[in-house]
Amino acid sequence: MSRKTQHYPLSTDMTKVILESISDGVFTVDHQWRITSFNRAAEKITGITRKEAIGKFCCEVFRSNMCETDCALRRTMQQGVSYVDTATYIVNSEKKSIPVTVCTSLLKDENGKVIGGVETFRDMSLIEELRRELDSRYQMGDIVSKSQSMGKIIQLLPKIAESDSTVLIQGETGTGKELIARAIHDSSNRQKKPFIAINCGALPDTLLESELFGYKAGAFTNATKDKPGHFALAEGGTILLDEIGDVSAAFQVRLLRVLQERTFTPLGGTKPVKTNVRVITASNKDLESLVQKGTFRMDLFYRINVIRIDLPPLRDRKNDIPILVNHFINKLNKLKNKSISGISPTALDILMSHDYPGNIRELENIIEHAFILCQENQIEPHCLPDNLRPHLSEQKKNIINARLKSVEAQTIIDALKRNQYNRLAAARELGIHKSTLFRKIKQLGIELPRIDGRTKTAK
Amino acid sequence: MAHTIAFAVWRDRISPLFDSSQVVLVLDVENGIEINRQHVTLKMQEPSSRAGELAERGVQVLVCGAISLAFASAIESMGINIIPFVAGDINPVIRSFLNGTVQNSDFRMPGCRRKRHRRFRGGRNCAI
Repeated sequence: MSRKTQHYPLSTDMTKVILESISDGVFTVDHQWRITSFNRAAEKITGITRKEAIGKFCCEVFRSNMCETDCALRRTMQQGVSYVDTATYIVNSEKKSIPVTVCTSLLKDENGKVIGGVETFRDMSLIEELRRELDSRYQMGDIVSKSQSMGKIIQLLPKIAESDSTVLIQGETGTGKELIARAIHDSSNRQKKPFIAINCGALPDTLLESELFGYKAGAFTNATKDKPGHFALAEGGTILLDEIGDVSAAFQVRLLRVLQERTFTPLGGTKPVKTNVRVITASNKDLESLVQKGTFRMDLFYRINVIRIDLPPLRDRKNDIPILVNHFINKLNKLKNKSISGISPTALDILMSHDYPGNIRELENIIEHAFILCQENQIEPHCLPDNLRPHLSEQKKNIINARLKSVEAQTIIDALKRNQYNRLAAARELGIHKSTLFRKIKQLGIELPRIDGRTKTAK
Repeated sequence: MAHTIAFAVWRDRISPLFDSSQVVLVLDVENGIEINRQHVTLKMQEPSSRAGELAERGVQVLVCGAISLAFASAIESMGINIIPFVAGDINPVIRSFLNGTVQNSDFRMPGCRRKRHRRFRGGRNCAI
């Protein structure tokens, strides 16, 4: 026997009850765009009472950013087509923007005559908030981060770039000092001029001087013609003096003069040359402590320390590891024409437990290493460098685990015996909660006698 | 004393949401009398650029419908005063503004009752 579904026509009262009980806002309009009904959820989301809303133009009640330009309800009324889940935002009386999704359809009477339109809308604030939380990251150029400490720096960078002041970037090796310097240059007015980075620690004084300031023909043997230095090449742009803490005391004086007077004299030259270069300095050493030790000139320190950026090491912002790993995977996929989709959870766990003395540069090298070894779709633990992988084999791990368990079981049995199998007393002695003890007893398969320590006398 | 006031307009009424308004009616007023009016199409969408656009026109007061915090703070940071949550046909609103009654009149958006109504149930004041 086939079952027939019985349809009950909804009475007006029933419709009202349904509309009042749903969490989506619903309102209807007539052909003049005036609101004819407004349910309880609509009152709650918009903050406008039904009494105030009825009879008013829907755009002045709903106040969405599409009312004026691309109203979904107007399109529905014009085309007779329903629209589902159009995303927009409305603004409430506290000037707060509320993200909503909107569905629109025609409103017809029992004879099928169009008497207006109906719009339902859903408050998406919570979903948007959660989505933002999941996706919240700070990015500027090649710098990506989810951490608050880096976020503050990234948010400040445009202002720093605008200022044209001398910047000191401090941070351990591999924390991205050059990236920050480049990001400052790229967002400054000097972006169309050169950006030159030079490692001051790598060169002896005389060579550094000729590299930075250039030389004139005849300045020394084999100097057959003039050679411009980095300051001249970077004219109008930015120069990054990396490892500034490693330059000699004599060279610090020359640098101070350049920064103070904005002029330099090439080797073998007689006339000072004017320079318009923004100087950014970087160091992996704490310059303040070098000043206290007397190895770095105080006047130079104050000259370069106009704006200071301290980059946190990667071990202090480990929540950035997943986002950085993805960033490097995307970057290397493009460079090496591969299509690695991601990293396995086990491999990521291994990366998360490493301390990264080489910071982000080390992480990037690890991913590059994995790219060479990885034959699968995603990076697996065996693709990672040996020093990161756990040294223990599975077999050894199992043996150790079994030993640990037997020691644990013996300790529990001993404690129970000492307390005449009173579980509560044994748990107290072991310093654990009684429920933990019960769980351990079950987990370790410890068999207990029938007495439980609370029994006064055995019959 | 000369003033420049911008009214966000849409279809001869105050535009419901300034964030997406396309046109402002810029009014030059001297000693409380209108001396010039001009419809200006807003080109910028982003809050600070849009605020800059108004400031470049010398606007000192903006009369508009609803406005989000992002736009309101960008405009106020340019030293422009905002009279928000205004609704109604543009000419009566202008008259009411020139009379100095626009904030206390009935040209208020729904949900933005005047303060004296606040003690009644459902009464709500807008963030002005």
